[in-house]
Amino acid sequence: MARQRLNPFAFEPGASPLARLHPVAKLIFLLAITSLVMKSGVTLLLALALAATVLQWGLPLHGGASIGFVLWLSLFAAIVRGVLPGDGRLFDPATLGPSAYYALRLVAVFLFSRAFYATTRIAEIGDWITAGWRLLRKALIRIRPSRRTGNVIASARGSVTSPGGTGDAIEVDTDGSAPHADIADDPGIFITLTLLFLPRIFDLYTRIDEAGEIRGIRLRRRNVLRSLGMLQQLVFAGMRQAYRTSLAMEVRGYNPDRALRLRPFNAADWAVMAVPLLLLLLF
Amino acid sequence: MPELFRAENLCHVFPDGRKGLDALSLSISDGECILVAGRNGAGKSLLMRHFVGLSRPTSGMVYFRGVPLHTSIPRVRREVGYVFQDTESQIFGQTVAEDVAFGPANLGMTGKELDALVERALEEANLAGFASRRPHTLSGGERRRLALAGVLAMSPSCIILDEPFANLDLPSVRDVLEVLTRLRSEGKTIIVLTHEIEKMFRLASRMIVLDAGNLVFDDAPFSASLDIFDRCGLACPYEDHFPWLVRG
Repeated sequence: MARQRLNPFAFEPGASPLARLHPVAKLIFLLAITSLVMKSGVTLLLALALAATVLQWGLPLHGGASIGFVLWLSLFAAIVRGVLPGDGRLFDPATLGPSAYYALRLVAVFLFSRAFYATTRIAEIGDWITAGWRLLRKALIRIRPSRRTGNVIASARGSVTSPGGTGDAIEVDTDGSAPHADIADDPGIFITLTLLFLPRIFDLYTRIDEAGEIRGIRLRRRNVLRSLGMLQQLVFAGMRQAYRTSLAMEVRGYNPDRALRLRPFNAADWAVMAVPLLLLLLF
Repeated sequence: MPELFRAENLCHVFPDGRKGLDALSLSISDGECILVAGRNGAGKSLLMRHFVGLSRPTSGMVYFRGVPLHTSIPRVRREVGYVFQDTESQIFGQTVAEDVAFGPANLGMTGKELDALVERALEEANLAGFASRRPHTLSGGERRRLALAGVLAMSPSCIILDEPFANLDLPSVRDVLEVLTRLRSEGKTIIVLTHEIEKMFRLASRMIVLDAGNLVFDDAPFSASLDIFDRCGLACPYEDHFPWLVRG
């Protein structure tokens, strides 16, 4: 159970006001702030890292435990950078400064990302992605009828078969303006399910790891063959869960033309987007 | 009552040659409360998969409201709700409200109408006040009722529940039974698949017992002979072991 708490992908909004912000505003904030972190000087970086730490306020603490992984990664990168500088020495201490700088960048990005992931409903992001895709598709159909669109329009006149040559006419709306939606027309659901499954896969891994441990097999020991065997179980269990979920979606009437819930932006959302973009322009 | 489902000589043969269902014929009408019993592997879940169009018969036919079921899948989706045994895979919202809204949103509902529907479904499933909770923080019984709420939000006329009492403690079983009793009084068709028949014995108006894909009993629950339970590996509900559950 203790290890389950390390799940870095869990949705844990806590009491944070971040949870009330618009998901798209937070996504734009995250993208802008990540670019800023990667190119900022030391003073700004320290300020950003401090801000990222403050953002963790109100979030449950346990999700932050995986920061240990980021620190190990930084240490590994530092060692790789400093070992055998080429002048006969084993290690160059001068690389430690830039390595610490690099580690701080990673930590800041991790903390901002964690604040985003822990407080954002993935389905809302998915709905915006699908809404954007629907708009784009509509615009593309108007501007440049593609082979598919051309076929669709012709099919509406009752004369064209599908590109696959199966003889099945592509379904169209009665006005012939657009085909009926299929799963490819709902990219948001892919993103939503993928991101939603990350914590579940992580929990699944924990359960398999614990089951193996009870039977004397430890994934984290250096036994590659056994570990591969356990990972194989993880893949199969993940596939089984995905299959069951797809059945459940089917039974609950999943429809690619589903109604989307698009929350409007308020003043705080605009401010959250504007600040990092402004900083990005200034620095 | 109008007929809801009808199976005619329904056969299902698995790829390895095993028979899952063997020339099964039965009919289910609106408003019935049916207990489908049988040991593990008897064909209960398989029969229901045919009723919701998730499996195709090897031979025979399934009809939904008089028309071949495979031609009326969208109507089946609107009218029939299915609560799986494994509720974990059926929950895909980050919050309880988000999960319950999934079905109605697919039916095109949005805004206040959707919110009202979610609220009502949560109340019906005794989950009022749980809207902002994360599903993985719920207990087993609460998760089961969440899966039920997700189905109720689509306002189905028929609800199928696969092993709704599995892994539940006594209070959780009572909660689920309370919801089912209310749904029955509202006139919904309820089909419960379970081998724990004592829990549904009083509530059900009809009991169907399957054994190795064959229909071995189809009548009022109290008309079943002791022999049926023995033969089909079911605990006898006539004994006084479960007085707390069989109270009407």
